[in-house]
Amino acid sequence: MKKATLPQNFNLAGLLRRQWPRLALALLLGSGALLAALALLAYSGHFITATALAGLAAAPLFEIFRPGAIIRFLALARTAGRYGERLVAHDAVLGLMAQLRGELYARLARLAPEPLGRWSDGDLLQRIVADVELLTQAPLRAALPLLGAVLVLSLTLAFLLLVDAHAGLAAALCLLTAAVAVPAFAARRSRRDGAALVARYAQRREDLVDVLRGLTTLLLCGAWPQRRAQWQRQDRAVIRAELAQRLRESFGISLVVLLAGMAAWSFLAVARPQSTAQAPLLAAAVLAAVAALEALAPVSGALLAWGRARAAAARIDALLQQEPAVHFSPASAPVSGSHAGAVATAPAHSATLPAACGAVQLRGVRYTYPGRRSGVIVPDLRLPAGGRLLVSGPSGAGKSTLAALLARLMDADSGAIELDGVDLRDYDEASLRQRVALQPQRPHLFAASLAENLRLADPGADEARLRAVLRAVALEEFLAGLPQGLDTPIGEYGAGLSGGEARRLALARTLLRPAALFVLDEPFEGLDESTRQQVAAGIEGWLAGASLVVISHQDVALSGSVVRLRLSAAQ
Amino acid sequence: MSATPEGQALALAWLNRVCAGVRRWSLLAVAAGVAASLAFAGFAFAVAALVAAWLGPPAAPDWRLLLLIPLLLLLRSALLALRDWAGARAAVALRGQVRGELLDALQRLGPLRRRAGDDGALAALVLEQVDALDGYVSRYLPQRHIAALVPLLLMLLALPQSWLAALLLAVTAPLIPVFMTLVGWGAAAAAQAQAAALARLSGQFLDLVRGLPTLRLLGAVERGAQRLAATAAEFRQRSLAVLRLAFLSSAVLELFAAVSIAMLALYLGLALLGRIDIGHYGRPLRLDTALFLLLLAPEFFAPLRQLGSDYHARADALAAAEALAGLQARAAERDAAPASATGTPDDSAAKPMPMASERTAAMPAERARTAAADASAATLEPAAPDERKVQRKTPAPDAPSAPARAGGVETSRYDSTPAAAAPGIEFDHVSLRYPDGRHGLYEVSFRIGAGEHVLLRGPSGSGKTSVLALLAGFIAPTSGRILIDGQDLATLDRATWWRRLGWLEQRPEWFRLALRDNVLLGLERGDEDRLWAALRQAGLDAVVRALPQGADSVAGTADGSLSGGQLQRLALARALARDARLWLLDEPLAHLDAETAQELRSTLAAAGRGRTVLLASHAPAESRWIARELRLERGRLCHDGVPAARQGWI
Repeated sequence: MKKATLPQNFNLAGLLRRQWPRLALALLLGSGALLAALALLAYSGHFITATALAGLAAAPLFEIFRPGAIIRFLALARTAGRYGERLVAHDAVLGLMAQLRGELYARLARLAPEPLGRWSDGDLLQRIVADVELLTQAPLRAALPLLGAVLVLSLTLAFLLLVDAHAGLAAALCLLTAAVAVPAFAARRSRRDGAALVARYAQRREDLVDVLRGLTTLLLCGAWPQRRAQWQRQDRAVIRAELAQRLRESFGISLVVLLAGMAAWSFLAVARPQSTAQAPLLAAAVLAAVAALEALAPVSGALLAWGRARAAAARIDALLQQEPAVHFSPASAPVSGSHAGAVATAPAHSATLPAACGAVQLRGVRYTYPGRRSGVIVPDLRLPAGGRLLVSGPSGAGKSTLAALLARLMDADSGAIELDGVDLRDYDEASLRQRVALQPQRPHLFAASLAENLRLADPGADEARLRAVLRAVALEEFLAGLPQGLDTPIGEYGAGLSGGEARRLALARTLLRPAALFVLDEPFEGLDESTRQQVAAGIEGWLAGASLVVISHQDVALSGSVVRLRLSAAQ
Repeated sequence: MSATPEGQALALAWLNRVCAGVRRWSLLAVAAGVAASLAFAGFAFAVAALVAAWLGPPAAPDWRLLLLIPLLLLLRSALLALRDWAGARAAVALRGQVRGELLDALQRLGPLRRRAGDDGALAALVLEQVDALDGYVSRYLPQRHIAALVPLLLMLLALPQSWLAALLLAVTAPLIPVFMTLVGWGAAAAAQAQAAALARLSGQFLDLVRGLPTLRLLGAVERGAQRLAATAAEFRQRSLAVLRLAFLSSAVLELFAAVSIAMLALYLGLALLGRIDIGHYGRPLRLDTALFLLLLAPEFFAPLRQLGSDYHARADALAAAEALAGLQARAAERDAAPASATGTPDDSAAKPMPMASERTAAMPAERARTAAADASAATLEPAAPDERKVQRKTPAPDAPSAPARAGGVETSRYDSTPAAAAPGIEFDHVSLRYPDGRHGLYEVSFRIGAGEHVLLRGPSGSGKTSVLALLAGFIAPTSGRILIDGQDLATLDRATWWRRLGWLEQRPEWFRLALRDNVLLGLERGDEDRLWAALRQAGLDAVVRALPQGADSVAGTADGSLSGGQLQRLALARALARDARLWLLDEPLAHLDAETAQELRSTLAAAGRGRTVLLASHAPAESRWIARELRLERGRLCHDGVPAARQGWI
């Protein structure tokens, strides 16, 4: 249950810490490969110059086995290091992705349905898909190249200074400028531009979704060309900003290339060997300076990636900092192991919850929409166990709000709702969900098989039970027409099903809940008359003794004593 | 994202087609990249000469060489920047072009775009998938040529110094194509598997987050988390196995680069010692030559290694190309008749009434008057037909907002004149077949008189929406004709035709704009009379007045400013403001409660007078307003007459 204490803030350093052993290993291997590559060229230069010196002196006994072995070793080390680094780094990224998504999911769960519903689809899509991907790539694109460059650069500088202090100083000046000043400049700009760019990406997506949502209308009104051109202008502006950023990046890289070359040059210009015997070491230093380029080149790009990742982290953080609409009382027992926000301190009253029979009592319930003057006032009423309540009223009267209140998706401003004699606010979430099943107006079908979608409500349901509940919502014929039957995959958002079929499937799923109170929000919408009667009869047959609340703008024939509630818009 | 060979081939062909337009930028990038390598060769030459001088008598370094180095470095830096810039420009041009094509395709699909995905998915297609082409165009395409040219040129530079050194490099040269395929294979397989699995993971994640409210109600949040963790773990295991192989191929390239440097160094050393005396044309090998050759070796392999790391861009682009080409193919399939008759939809939007004179000649006199009014409405001053209920405040059409050209689309703002009289409609043996052979509609014939109100009834999937989409010109019939006032719809200008249509769907379309702009979409923004008249007729004026910011409040459900039924009224107000004379209504009352529906129905009945109205619904009609019912069953017209049931709900 300690998982409940998720980190309060979402930042990049914390992100890297989560995979630090793998990332450290990747850094070690990567820097090793870079150093080996650098040493290979430098040592080869040393070797050649030494042999040339020996050749001039006509020294017959120049030992070549050791240099040969060193050169071969460096060649292999470079290859192995690079291979290992890539593998380990990708493994770390994959692990990070799994962690990040899992964590984000757990934290978002607290915010569903409100205030999560306040984000538009486009915005949410941007944050949870694009931004998470940006974040996961951050170690690979930003952190590792940066740290590797710093490590290799310091070692190269130390070597240059050791070989020739004066010339080394001159070269160090160039290399440091290349490694510090240029990237720092780039970073300062990129921090600002990166954040601005990420914000503009989100705006662009939002506007595109808005334009696409009303495409038909725009076409018919003749407003499409204008709106389209407007969006394309915006897109071009974003691309221009992106291009400017990339040009700065490539300019930075060019500058780094230039300065690394100048490091070799300044060494050449300043170094004066005391004797020819010193020449091989100096040659090695020059070649090392040239080879340092390989480690430095990715630096400015990495800084830009870092800027983008920071902006993405900030946006995700803003999403997670929301306050959930409802705080549940602690779970009575650890039903859901790592459920976000659930702290296991078994409260005394949980054991004393009355038996579930679905009796509801509403007293003085009022709800005002945030940011609006209007709201809902629900008349006091009592629904006995096994009773039927039919809620009607004009649109905007608060029918769906009442449903949300009954399932405690939100809390009333005043008044109390009691279920089986206990205030809804005194239930922990698991117990409440066990007792109240709500079919929302827009249920979600998951990209999974038909059976998997149904079993979300009742993991233990056997095939016979699934078929029975589909029969209850008049989907028997539909099921018979599916070659794969219950294993038929359902696309995202129930693609492949008609609107009516999707709704009834979701209804079947809700009915599978072992609840004592069923709240169905517009269960008959989009159904023709005969199907409607069939489904209504099917629901009642299925429920047995459970209570039922139906919200419908259509008149429904329900058996037994039906309490009717008419809501009208309130001030 | 299928990895079928045909899919790949199609995607590649599509990529080649769209990239043809940016070839000039790519060539510039190649030239700059190759020149940069040559500048490096010059730099290597000067460095080698200066180092070699240290073996001679102590002297000041050659100032000419010292001067040459910064110049060459500067040149190289400039060329590298040029290469990147040209590549980036190519990508910018390509992205603009492809996005334009995609918007064209979506425009052609109209309301049928929903079959290609929801708006979020379509937005992802237009944004991310197009961005996925970037790396391919800006880096991979030029690098492919650079990687072929640079090794060859450097080898030619090495040849005059030492044929054996050139040979040592050349031994690897014939292997370069092998490398490239090798790198290609591994990287492509890896990137493809990776991209496919990643897309699936992203999709699953999004699916679960979208479904969070549902999961929470079902008490299944934890199960969602388990599912997420399970697929992530599986993905990690599987992709690591793939990556192990994929990275091996680039490791081989890395190894060859390292080994060839090592071999070169050993050969040069032995030659300098005089123990090897072949390979340098009998002359004694000099240190400057040897160092020059050594410095060339890393540069020889650099472009290839770069190509290896850019290779994932190709796989990304191919995957994206498949999705993008798919959408375009879908749009081409459904390409509507008006578009094929007058060119692309862009052209038709740009041309005001191309065939007005022919139409006038071909039509009966009474209809010709209509068409003439229509034509003048599209181009000139309104002819102010008598049936207008909404008085316009300003007499001039909305012309001052000058047409702006953007992306090849003429932006002519819709002018606010009413579109003449209500049209009569005739379906003449209209059939519609889907690409998979199923019939959407089969030999449907009916006539609807001008100003008639007709219910189009049938269960879902019976072809109601297809009839409406055909009438709006978003699809063309596979066979048969649709006549509007006796004129084939296929020959009508689409933009002009659209002006006469009011369209209401089950889920009303609205925009994150002020309510005012939602209603006066395409009309003059400040026309208060028109705005409030339309709102009043739609029964929304009281609601709008009660909002804190009135007609300037931003429409939307998220902040709770308008309910679903009110948004539907907003859409109706839009049709009323435009005074559209043909209303195509697709289950507009399905979401509304009885009372609101009844109110809205009387609104429709009152406002629908003088308009041709086609109302699609699965429910029987309400009697007073609708006198005729067309019933569809599985794409066939099976009843035409008085509504079967006179009571009930629409």
